[in-house]
Amino acid sequence: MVKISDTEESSRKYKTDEDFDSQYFKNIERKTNIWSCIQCGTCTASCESGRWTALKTRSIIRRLVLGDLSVLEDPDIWLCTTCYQCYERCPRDVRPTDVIMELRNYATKLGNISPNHRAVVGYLKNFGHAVPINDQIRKQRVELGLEELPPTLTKYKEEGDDKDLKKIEEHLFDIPEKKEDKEEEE
Amino acid sequence: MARDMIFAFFLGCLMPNRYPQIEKATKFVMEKLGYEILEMEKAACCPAPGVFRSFNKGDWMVHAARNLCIAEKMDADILTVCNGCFGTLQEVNKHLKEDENLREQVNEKLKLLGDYEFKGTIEVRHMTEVLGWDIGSWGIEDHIVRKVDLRASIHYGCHFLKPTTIRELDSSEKPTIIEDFIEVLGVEAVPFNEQLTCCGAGGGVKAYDGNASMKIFGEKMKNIDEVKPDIILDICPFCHLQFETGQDYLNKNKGCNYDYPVIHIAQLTAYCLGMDAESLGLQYQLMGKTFDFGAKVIKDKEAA
Amino acid sequence: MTVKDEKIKNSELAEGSQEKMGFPEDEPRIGVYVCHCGHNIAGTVDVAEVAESASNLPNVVEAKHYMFMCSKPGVQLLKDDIKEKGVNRTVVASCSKNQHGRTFARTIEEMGLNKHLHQQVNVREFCSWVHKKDKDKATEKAKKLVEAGVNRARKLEEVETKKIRTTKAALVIGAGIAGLRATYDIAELGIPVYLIERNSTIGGHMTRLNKTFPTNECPQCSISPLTNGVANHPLVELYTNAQIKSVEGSMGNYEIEVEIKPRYVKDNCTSCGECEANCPVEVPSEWDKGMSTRGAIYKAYPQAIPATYVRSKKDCIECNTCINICPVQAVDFSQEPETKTFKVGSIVVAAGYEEYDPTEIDAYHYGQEGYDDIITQLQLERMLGPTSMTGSEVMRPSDGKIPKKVVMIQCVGSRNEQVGNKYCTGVCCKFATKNAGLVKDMYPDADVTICYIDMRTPGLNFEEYYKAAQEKGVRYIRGRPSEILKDPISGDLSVIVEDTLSQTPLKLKADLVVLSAAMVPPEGIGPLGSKLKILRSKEGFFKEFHIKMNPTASSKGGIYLAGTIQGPKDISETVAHAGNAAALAAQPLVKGYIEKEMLIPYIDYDLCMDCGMCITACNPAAISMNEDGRPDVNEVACKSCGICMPACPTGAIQLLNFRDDQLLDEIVPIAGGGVVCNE
Repeated sequence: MVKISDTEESSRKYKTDEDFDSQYFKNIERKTNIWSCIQCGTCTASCESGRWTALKTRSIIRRLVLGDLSVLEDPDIWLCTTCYQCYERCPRDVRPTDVIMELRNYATKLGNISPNHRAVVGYLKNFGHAVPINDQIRKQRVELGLEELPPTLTKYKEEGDDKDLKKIEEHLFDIPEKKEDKEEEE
Repeated sequence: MARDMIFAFFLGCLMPNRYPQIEKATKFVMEKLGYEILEMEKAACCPAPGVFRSFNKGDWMVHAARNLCIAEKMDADILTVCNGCFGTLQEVNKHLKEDENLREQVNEKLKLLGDYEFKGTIEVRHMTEVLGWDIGSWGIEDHIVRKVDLRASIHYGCHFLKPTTIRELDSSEKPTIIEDFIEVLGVEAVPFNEQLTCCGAGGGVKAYDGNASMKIFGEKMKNIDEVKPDIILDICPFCHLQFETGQDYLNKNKGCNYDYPVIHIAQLTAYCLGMDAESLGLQYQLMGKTFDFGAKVIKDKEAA
Repeated sequence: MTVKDEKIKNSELAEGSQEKMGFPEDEPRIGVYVCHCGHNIAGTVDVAEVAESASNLPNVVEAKHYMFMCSKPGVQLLKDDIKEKGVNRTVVASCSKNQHGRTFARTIEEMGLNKHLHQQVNVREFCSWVHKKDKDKATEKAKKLVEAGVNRARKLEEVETKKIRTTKAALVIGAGIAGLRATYDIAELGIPVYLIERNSTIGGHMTRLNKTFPTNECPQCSISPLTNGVANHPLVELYTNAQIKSVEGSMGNYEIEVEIKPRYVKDNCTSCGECEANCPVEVPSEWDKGMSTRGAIYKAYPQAIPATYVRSKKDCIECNTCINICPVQAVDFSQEPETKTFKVGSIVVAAGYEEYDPTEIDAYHYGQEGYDDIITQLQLERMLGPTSMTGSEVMRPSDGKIPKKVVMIQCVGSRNEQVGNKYCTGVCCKFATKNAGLVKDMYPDADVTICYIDMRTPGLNFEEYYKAAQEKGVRYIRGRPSEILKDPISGDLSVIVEDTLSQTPLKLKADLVVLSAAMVPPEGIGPLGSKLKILRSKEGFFKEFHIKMNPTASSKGGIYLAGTIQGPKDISETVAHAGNAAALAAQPLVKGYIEKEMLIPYIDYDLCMDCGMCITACNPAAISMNEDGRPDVNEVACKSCGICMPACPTGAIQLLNFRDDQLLDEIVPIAGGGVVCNE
């Protein structure tokens, strides 16, 4: 066979039912109300991030309703600041902020998560804090008359008791590696 | 019901590890107002709602429940000064109290983290809510030793009020809790364009795409700069960080020349209740290092 | 004239009748007829087997199956068996009772049997249609359903039909376009009508409008023949400033108390206007939606009917200027409220709607200080109207300037779960299009934008009307605005919206924002509903009996709904709806009586404890305590719903033909066993 079919496929602009999995995001519908969306755009208009970035909340919800799985790879879903303005104003109670968070959970399971966010998880597992303390702040705390270290898990770890931290590391926030795509191999 | 007039002080990450002056000010204010403040031993990150909830909602709840359990064992309501910590802890606390199935699932996983079981015996409070409603402008008046004369641009942040159906505190479109409270301290709230929008830091955006975060923030600063306030008043260390480092970034990269002191409501209230200016810690902050609260004092009981 | 009409003509309009009630003396001889309904039933159910099985049941003397029982030869089977085989009860296993139950009941009635001795068994919807894949089980189920029907038929009682005289008069509540239409239509049939209106003038919302779509006609011109026609009709008594106080009675015979508040101006008022011109009080005009002011003594608008001025006691400072200045001494502060009692046979409720108050949508800031330039469509109508304060110009309320940029927002209070209104008002797309086009006509250089979620312009002429507005240059943006912002420095308003079709977030400058607010139930609908004892829909309007086939009957017999009190409508729909309500309301009054099947509950007073649970449960309020403190059933008001039976803790109240033992007998075969009651 001639390989002409491949070039035709790659330039295909229309989509067919096979391009969608309409039930894929059923669990998101269960927790929110994406299937009730009337695409009115209140969410996008409310979106402070969307005025400056590529984030289009309404389109993301549309793609979820259609079952367009490419949305899982879309970097835009990480541009929501979770300000909840769309959530407050949606006339159909779709709860777009929750939708995006659920979607990020899906993406994370596939390993679609940025290196910076991986690092934040690492901080939590190592220090019990998303933002760990540093030497300058230790000094500043003493100058202000506070304990050098707050009595949180970091302090316990320094004192040799890292049992709780170990358990958190072991049982929570296991982030899978990115599954390598076939396209990348090509 | 947890004990009256006692709080388990939830520190979170940014306050103790970046802005300990807010920690200092909070303790000062709460003790002046007659509250007992207890440390929460072995507490950890709340964990931050924008990032950790995005990664794994179930684990986010379990980790939050662990923090809640520490306060339950102390028989004290949680006090937080951070919108993010408030967002996580208040929401998880509410969901677990209301949903028995969820509570069972979370408790099952909590066992893996140690001797923890969520019972649903405490409340989670934001300092702003305690000041605005429990104390109130009427109640703070007797404690004020210094009244200032300042024009402030107020930044509510997002997670203190929203989602309103979960927080049930104040309108998210026209809130007045901070305005009403600070008026009696002598602060005039200066409204600015699109006042209630996000600072651009939340939802993991600051870590994910700093440029996007700064674009959103740049608009915010432009709107604030139009009304030229004396200070920017916030109620969240993460917004605090954004206003501090953001102004610095815009100055260095976008040719701006901002120097608006960024003041947390705990710092402002502490000053009015008599804490010395040094302990407010502006010298440690990037903006308004030379800003002098004292020059604005119009009534100083201690001086009199 | 048909034979039936003849019968009615000759019959006595009596309270009682010659028909028998109760269990007939003859031994039950039951005929069972299984219908094929073409393939509908026979394609799945073995009809021959069902008939055969039925023939073995006690008291069954005939059991047959036939292709179409509802056809003339099918019906003839019943007739023949009644005549020749002595069948005195029938069971037809075919479609639903609603569909053909009456056909067969009428047939046996023609043959001299009481029509309640027919039992319908539904083996189509309940059996063949739902069990197409399993014919054996479907047949088994059909047998059981037929056996259940036979058991029921065995115990059926005869029920009489009573004729009840009606009071030849009607009451219409509300004198807006719907109430006026209904009043006129009823009065033209020769029936006296009492028309009561809460406000001081008649005509309702329509008098407020500047133009009506899709013809841009003058609404005053359209409505005034009707307002005048009603006000001057010899059979109409009009009461303004009047409200319902109490309602007693049931279908055909109601007694209503109405409270009429004084106008404090006598009928000799010449409408000269001297009183208002000299009144020192100035308050926002309700009729003008706050777009102008009125005195404490006033006339709502120049063409108001009645033209007599009215004094608002609440606003009056009692300076007596009007009393002294009136050239005909018409002003009289000593007038007292009056209560009148009307006896009527039918009631038409035409209490109208209210424009949704958008203040609760915080993000739109309507009604908040500093946001004067956000108005509603009705307020815009009042500005554009011929008698407006602005001389029919569009002016910004804040500074009186003519706006260069007008933005209209659709679905304000409609399609919005946050405010509890899920429904589409269905009129706003049209009136916004109308007003946008009119503004564009007046100020061709102005930018006029309509932000919408979906444009809904169904029906003849409306899509054309929409297109005409587009051609005038009205800009349509598909997106629901998230908020209206006010710049704290310049004071400028802007509307934030996504143009969803180009996926562009927009910040639109607006000199004037017009909110297309929803139609919502009017204030006071709750108390009115409880006085009338009629049900409301979850949206808060009065609920129609059947959305398709009976959209103007209420939940209670003899009370009809006209216009927007039943749900949002435009003027054409309102007029048609009101006309139908009038026709239904007039029917029993023209005929002079109502027929009522006495399928009502009987109370065994030995078992009854007078607890009143049945009274609480009864929706049409047909049960009440009698003079002896015992519950009594009003046989006219009863709707035969049977809800009183489960409410009764002792089983004392039993609905005819739905008695516990009758229902038990029916259930036994379906439940797969048990004992058939012998008593």
